[in-house]
Amino acid sequence: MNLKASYKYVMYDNKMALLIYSLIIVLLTVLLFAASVSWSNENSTTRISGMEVASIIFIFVAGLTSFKDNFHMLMQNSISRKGIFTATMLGFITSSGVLSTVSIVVILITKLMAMMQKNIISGSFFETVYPAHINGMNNVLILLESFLLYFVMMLAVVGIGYLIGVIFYRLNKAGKVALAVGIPVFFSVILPVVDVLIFDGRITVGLVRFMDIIFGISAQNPYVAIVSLLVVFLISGLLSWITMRKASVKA
Amino acid sequence: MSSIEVKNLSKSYGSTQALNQVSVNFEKDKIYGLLGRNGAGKTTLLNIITNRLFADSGEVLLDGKPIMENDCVLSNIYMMSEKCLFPEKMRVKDVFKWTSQFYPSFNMDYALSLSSKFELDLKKKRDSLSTGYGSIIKLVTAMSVNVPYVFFDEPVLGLDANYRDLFYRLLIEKYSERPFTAVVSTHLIDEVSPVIEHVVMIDKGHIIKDEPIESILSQGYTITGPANAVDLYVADKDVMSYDMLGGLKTAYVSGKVPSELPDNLEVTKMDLQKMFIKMTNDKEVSK
Repeated sequence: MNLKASYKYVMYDNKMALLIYSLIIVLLTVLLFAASVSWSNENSTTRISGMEVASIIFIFVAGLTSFKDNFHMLMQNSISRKGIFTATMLGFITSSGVLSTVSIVVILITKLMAMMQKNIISGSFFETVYPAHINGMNNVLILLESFLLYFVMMLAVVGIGYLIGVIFYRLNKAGKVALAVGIPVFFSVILPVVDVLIFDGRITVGLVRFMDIIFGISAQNPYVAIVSLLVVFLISGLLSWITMRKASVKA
Repeated sequence: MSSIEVKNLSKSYGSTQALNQVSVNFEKDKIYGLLGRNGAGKTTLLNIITNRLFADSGEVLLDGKPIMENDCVLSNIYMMSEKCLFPEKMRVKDVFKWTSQFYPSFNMDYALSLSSKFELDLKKKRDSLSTGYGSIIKLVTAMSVNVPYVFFDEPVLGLDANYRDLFYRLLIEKYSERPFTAVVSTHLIDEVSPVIEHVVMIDKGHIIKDEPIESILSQGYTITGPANAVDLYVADKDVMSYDMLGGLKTAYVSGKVPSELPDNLEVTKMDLQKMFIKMTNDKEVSK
């Protein structure tokens, strides 16, 4: 298997996008800090948090759009589907690692800002969701656990994005329209309406409870979330493989 | 002997049977012409051989090993497809660079020299190339990979006469220097016939001819002369078609070349295209 070349190609495709994104997000953080310093006064405080969400959106879009071009180029160069899948997954692991590192760097920058400017509050996603867990915990350990959580979160998100991309590629035109329209309509219209009219809000309550359990929020245990997200990545990867293993190059 | 062995391939798209129990061998170091009408099944056959499409039944072997999803075996094969699979925003030079990563035997110097012959701009992005240059980038890449089996699906699509001629000359030149198996699938039978050694004709998903070109051409002949003399001569013969030019008539006749002819008639070799038209129009033959 020409795995090295395939992996290099997959990463070549991602490299520039990752680099540009990382530069933008770091610059944006510094810019936010500068703006907060210049506009703040003693009576107000500024909270900088949730920058990790941008990375999550970025990697979701990367997963969503990565199938077709890579599949075509690698098939052109006589790489098997299992070779393409393996190289893509390795690429996702690398990209998730890079983006998690960028997220940690951004957190460190915001923490530094908060130390320099007392009326700026820095809070990461990890600290916001697991306040009891991090209470009294060593800062290095917090960063390590944050990295681990972001890493698997990005893997899960890119895995879902990739699965949607593969399904989209394999569908015919009518199927593509149904998927593109159906998913947003289902989640934004059908599900809320059905929930309110028929289930009296029990679906929403159930979903919130489910999210609470799989993210270990009430239990204040981030490792539950790490395992859950890893399972999501593995399942989406498995489904992607099942969907693409018989994929043909479309004329 | 090394070869690609296609065994009983069948493939259908809904109710359309694209390939029906197709069996054919592509031997080492030969130039094949894969000829067939539109929708005959040529591209489907090539796509299955090169692992881009799955057959409903049957198998493809290279030296006895299955090709499907076999990276090791697939590295001996390259296909220049009608559809361009290189990324739209990739520059020509990057296409060569990346192909050389996947095919270590890719000859960059040769690719650059061919690009210069075809006046292909290396800095251009793939999506900014015209239809003709879209074919040229694929051709140059396919000619430079240096693998034992190269499949060309409609290689001269959109190329002007000069570049088509250049391609055929380069193919023969390359083959003479370093023999390989080239399978050329095309509609331009007249143009490709001087280049190919072996003909595989496909019609409605069936292989109807799989023979050396000389053997096919020996199954018929061309008679030219005054119209009335030609008509008289072919009265009891199986004529595929006629051409008229002024007072001269040409008849394309099936059968062995005659040993004796009237003085005013001239006999020449059969034309492959005429033979092809005859065979693919004749339902009795195609089955």
